[in-house]
Amino acid sequence: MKNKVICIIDDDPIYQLLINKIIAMSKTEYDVISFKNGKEALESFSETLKENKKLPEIILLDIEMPIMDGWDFMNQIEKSLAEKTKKTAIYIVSSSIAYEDKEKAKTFPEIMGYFSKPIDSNKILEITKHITKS
Amino acid sequence: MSFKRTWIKISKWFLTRPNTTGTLVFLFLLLLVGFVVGLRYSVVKENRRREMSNIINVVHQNFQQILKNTYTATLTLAMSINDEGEPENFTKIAPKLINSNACIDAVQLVPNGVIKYVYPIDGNEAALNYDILHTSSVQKEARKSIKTKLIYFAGPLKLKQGGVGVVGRLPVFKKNKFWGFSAVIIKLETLFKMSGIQSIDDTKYYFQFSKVNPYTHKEEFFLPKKEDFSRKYFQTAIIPDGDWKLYLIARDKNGLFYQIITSSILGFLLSLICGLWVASIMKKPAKLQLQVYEQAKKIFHTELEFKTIFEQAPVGIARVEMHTGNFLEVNDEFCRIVGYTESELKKINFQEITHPEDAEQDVNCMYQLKKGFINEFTIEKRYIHKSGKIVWGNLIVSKLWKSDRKPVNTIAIIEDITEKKQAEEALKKSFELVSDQNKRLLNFSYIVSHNLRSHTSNIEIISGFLETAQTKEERDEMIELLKKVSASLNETMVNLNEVVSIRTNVNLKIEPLNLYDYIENAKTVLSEQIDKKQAAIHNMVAPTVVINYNTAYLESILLNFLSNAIRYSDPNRKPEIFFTFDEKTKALKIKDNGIGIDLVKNGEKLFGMYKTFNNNPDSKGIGLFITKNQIDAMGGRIQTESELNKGTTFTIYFK
Repeated sequence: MKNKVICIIDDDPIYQLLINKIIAMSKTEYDVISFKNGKEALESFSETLKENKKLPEIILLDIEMPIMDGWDFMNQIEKSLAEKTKKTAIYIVSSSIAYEDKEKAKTFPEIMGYFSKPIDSNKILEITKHITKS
Repeated sequence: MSFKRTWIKISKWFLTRPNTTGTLVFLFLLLLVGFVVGLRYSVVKENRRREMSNIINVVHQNFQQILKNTYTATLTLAMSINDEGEPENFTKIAPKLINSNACIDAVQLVPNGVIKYVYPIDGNEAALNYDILHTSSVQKEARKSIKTKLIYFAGPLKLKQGGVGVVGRLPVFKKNKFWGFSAVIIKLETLFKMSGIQSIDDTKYYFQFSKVNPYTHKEEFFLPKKEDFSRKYFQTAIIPDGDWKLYLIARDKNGLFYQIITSSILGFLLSLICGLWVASIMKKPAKLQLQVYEQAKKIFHTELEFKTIFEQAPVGIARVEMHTGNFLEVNDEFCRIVGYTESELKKINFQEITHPEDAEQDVNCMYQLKKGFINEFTIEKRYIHKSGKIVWGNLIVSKLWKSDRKPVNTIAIIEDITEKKQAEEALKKSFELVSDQNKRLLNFSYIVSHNLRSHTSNIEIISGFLETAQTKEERDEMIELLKKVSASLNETMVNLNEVVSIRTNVNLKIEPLNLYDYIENAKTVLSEQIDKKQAAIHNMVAPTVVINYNTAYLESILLNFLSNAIRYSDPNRKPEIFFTFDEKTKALKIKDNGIGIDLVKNGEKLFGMYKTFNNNPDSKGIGLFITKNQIDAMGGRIQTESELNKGTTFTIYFK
């Protein structure tokens, strides 16, 4: 059991499977947890906080999801978990290449970067190295 | 009244003719001056006459006095003659007489016309023994006194002893027989001196002294200024004792004229000045009068122009009573805009032809105008044309009173902007259409980019893994995944195809469809699900309702809404779905008591592709997207009301 966690929030089961495989292959010191949408992730986070455990170090967030999409998830984070996610680096990983989405991502100070799918192990390593440094 | 009018007429006549009036004033004053000068002239003349008369009287009296004294002297001398005809004591009496009478130069006794006694003898020697009765040059006058037995003064004549003088002879009779004369000689010089002729102020008048020569019968003058004074003013006095005539002559012929000429000239000048003054001061009113006339003319023209502008203006103009809103005056264009005649409009107020939805705004603005909060306002409002149609007008209302006065009337200018509004409306509609299409296009491109890219990125990753796969198990796993991706990509392509076909299908067949039947049909198709959930479907649409629609679309729309309503029913209560139709708005309402949608959060995405809002494994986020596209393609629209855990109502406006 590694003590660092990457959290994947994405509704695409195939992508979930593939990203798990990529992270595993990248040989990082991170564990992976997955959620199908923002709402599930939020519920899990509040449980974690109740048990006085720390939140994931990295979140890879999709935009288009049912029930609660990426933006909504960010709004909720800002609203209720702002202080608690200070040590969490959030990255958008979406199949959208729309300019509007990239711009919108910049309006959230918690979002550290924007990646368009597909994502490979190099990018994962880039993210983890960046986090370790800071 | 008529007098007043006549007076105004007359004064106007004068006011407009300053030159004539000035001349008239001048002439009138000249007449007055003439009269006054004339009066003064006669007064001066009378004064002169009186003065001269006084002077001549004084002199005349002096003469009389001298003659009387002389007479007394001659009488005294005559007394000295005794009965024998011999003078007694002549030498004693004579000097006394001479001394007591300053005017007498010499005394004589002339018995039988011969000068025998003379006193003083010095200087008079030549007169001695001078026979006057037999000297032709003097006898005539001497004989005259004998005849009248009265003293008579002869001369002035040349004296025997020298010089010129008068001789007063008193005929003396002794025993009724002529004895001779007692005579005195007065030198003319002395006579004039004693008479006071010389003491008179001779700047104004002078005397002349004349006698008609008894021989030549010509008047002879004895004072030095012997000119013809017949044309001058003079007065006369006659001294009968010597047949003398005394003249007092005004020295200056023009004296009086000069006295009045100054005042005449002054008066003339004054009159002239007055006349000019009146003319000049009246010229101003005349000028003003002229200006008033010009102004009136201008005003008339301006009024005419304004009237023309009012009547011919290409915009509607109305004068409106402030408090009631009644029309006082309207022009042709206004009549045309609202379709009423002028006489019809004058019986109503603006509120009556204003669209009820715009009335409040207009009345409110009028109120602000009335209160003075604003001076004018501009609004776009609707009028109800006489024919009932709606006319759009751009209304500008200004007040027609000054801010310190009471509100009275307003002027309203109305521009017919119906066409503009219609164009605007059309533009707005087309803009909405374009922006809607643009939105859909964006949505579509988003769909393409997102949904296709998510698959392709997966494929990319999988192919990467396939390349590096070391074992057969690994490779098989990846191929399995690739199959899955391929299947979902196919599904996406099918859905996109359907959307594209809806959007590109412009020539849809439209036919009258019985709505009730189609709802029943959908119920039949979905009977399995309905039974499973034990849902109650209430088709409350009247069986007579017929709508013009495309068959396939109507089926698809009804199936989608009904299946959605069943799928998203609340598991805690029995699903109930109501279909109702509003004839007026041509709208079908589908109301359920399902789980509801959070419209605040998801309103925008509700009809987007692949938007799902719940965890239902059946929800693919394609149904409502297709439904919306179909309704749009038919020119209708859709409206959603929903409350979480209460239910959702979709209203479909067919057109």
